[in-house]
Amino acid sequence: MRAVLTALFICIIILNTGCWDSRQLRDITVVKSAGIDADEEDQLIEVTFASPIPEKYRTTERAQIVSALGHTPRHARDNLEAEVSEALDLGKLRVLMIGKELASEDLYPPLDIVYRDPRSALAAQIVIAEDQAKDIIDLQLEDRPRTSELIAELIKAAEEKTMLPITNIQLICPPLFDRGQDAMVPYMTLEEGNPHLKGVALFNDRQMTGSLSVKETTMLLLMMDKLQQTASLTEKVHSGRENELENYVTIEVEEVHRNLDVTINKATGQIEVPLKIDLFVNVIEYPLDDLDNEEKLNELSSLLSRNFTEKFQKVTEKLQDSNSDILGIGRRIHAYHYPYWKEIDWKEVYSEVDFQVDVTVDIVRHGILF
Amino acid sequence: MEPLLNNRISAKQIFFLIVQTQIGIAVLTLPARVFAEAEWEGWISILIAGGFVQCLLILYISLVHRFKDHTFFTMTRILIGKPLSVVVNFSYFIYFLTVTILILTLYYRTIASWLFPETPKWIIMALIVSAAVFLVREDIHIIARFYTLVSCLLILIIGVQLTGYTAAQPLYLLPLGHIGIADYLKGADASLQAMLGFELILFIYPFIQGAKKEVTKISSYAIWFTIGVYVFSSVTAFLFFSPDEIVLVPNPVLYMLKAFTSPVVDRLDLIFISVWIISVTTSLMTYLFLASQYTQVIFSLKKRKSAVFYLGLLILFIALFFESNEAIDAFSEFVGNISYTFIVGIPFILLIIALVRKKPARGKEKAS
Repeated sequence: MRAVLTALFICIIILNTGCWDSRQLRDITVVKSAGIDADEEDQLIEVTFASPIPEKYRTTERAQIVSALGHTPRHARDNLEAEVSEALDLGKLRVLMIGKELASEDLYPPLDIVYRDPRSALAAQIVIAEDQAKDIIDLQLEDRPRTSELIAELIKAAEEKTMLPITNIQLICPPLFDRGQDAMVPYMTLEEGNPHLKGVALFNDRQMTGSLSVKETTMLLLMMDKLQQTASLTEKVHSGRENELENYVTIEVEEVHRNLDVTINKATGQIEVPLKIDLFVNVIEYPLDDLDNEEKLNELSSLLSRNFTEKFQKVTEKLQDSNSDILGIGRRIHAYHYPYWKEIDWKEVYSEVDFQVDVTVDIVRHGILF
Repeated sequence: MEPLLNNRISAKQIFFLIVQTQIGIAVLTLPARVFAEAEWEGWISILIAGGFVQCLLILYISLVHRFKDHTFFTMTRILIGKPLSVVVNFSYFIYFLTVTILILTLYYRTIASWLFPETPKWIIMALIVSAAVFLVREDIHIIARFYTLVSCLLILIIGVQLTGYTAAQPLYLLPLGHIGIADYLKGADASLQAMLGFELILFIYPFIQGAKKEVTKISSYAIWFTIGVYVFSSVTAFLFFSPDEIVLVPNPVLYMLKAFTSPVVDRLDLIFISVWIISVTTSLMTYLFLASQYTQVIFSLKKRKSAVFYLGLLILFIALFFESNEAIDAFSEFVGNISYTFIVGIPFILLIIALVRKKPARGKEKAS
């Protein structure tokens, strides 16, 4: 008995030295960034993959870039296998870029391949390209790191500065499927041959319907109480100064206190959202140098409060124009006013929500100068 | 029968025996299963099922305590007579084998879809069965020690899930009370399969050293610990996935971990799965042990070790047949349905008989 068992164990161990599911690095092409675009004319999808070329095979290019057409991203990918010498492996993907055209139709279908595959890298960054994703993936910049690394690092740095929400392929999925909240995805473009961050693409359900600039994204994130390490905002506070620089102040937000409430006016059926935001800021640039007494400080903070209240309010209007409920107001109605939620079609009601933004700026520091 | 009861296990070890048997396959799928019935209030259903299990546990102990010197299989003989007890014992034997086959099939399905799509089925199954056979050949106190040892891995299973809270949306748990009582009960029904394993107490009670009160206390701790883990996993999954999304994800606990990456660990889900395999193996081991215990009653004591080997081969052979997802789901539902007979029906009837016959146990049997 013992002998039989021992023999069996030895057999199994020998047989299991990785015959079936091992993936040797020499047999695969590691794809670091991928782009998916719609090809209008032929109703096809175009995928573009970029993978680093190992040092020893390197000629002049640092990355191998291939693209192919197909009915679905998977189909296109299979078509590509005829073009590359090794099997494509998307397990180490860092950036997935979707063309705006495709995103405006429906974001989910091109992503299904990533959500379904057990090997896929759900922690990869997802980005919407203003034009064709291919154009950005194709870049081979000489004075920069590889494009895939560059974009991933760019986004990561922007996340830390509250310029972009923290996202990856999986993290956008809950809002994408949530009827009471919508998703936003980093939005990029090509500017003078370099990838350039434009802000975020706004989604209504699964369709891209608008976008915000980087500054508006920061304001939106502050309204969502999602301040990361820092957030800086530059604001024009004077207009009469001769030196243009002296008209501006740059602040760094150190702390946010947000108070968001959703009330339903029973009589009119109007949804009111009082949104109170207290910003505790550090003045990091103010060429006017004029903060030596409390009165002037108060004057500047009330000026900033007024300006920001107006600008934050504009952001909420922009969200409503795109019918994109990033703030998750619907989710709150679902949670706290469930009977009402069942009565309404949220997407119809959302554009009529009355946002009452009130920003208060409190200057707590102003560097080592007055 | 005396030598059988010699290998005693301590009352504390019963905690790990029950917990390790309960936590297994189902922890991955439970959040999705209860969500399908009770939506985001599924965790309440799990608590309801927990209350139910607690009642059953008290019922079991009051039954087996009357026959402290007998195993379950010999107890039935005393209670309902030889012919009937043969049928009951044999059906329990078949039930244990069915559960092992189910565990094996579900285990393979998860491993094949998450980890090793290309590796042949029999290899994956043979590996876990051989590990189980290897341990189950030993006595119950060795098994108990092993379970105690591997229980430290449970900390990892719980700890890893904490990463989900970095992207949690608390509002997904509200509103409460939006469904009817029937839905809560349906959810409780769906979660009962995950609770299976506490019926172990029926079969190992005579091996335990300890007063009835202590055993009751510790086994209750065990089931509430398991329920705690389940509620935690479900709440984590409900917070992480939005309601319309979770219905698309059969293994929410694993799927959630795929979203996170760190410089040290690239894929948390793979770490989780390797730890989880051990929990599955322990569940498999328990049922294999129980099935082999039956053979001990039928055949002589010494044959248990070789019986384990053949039982292992048998379940491996049968488990290889299940291919399509539908067949596996149907099988799983079937096991869920018949389990009520074995964990509620039969023990309940036995208890009533025992109550009616009023303590025929000790003295009488020894005299005969």
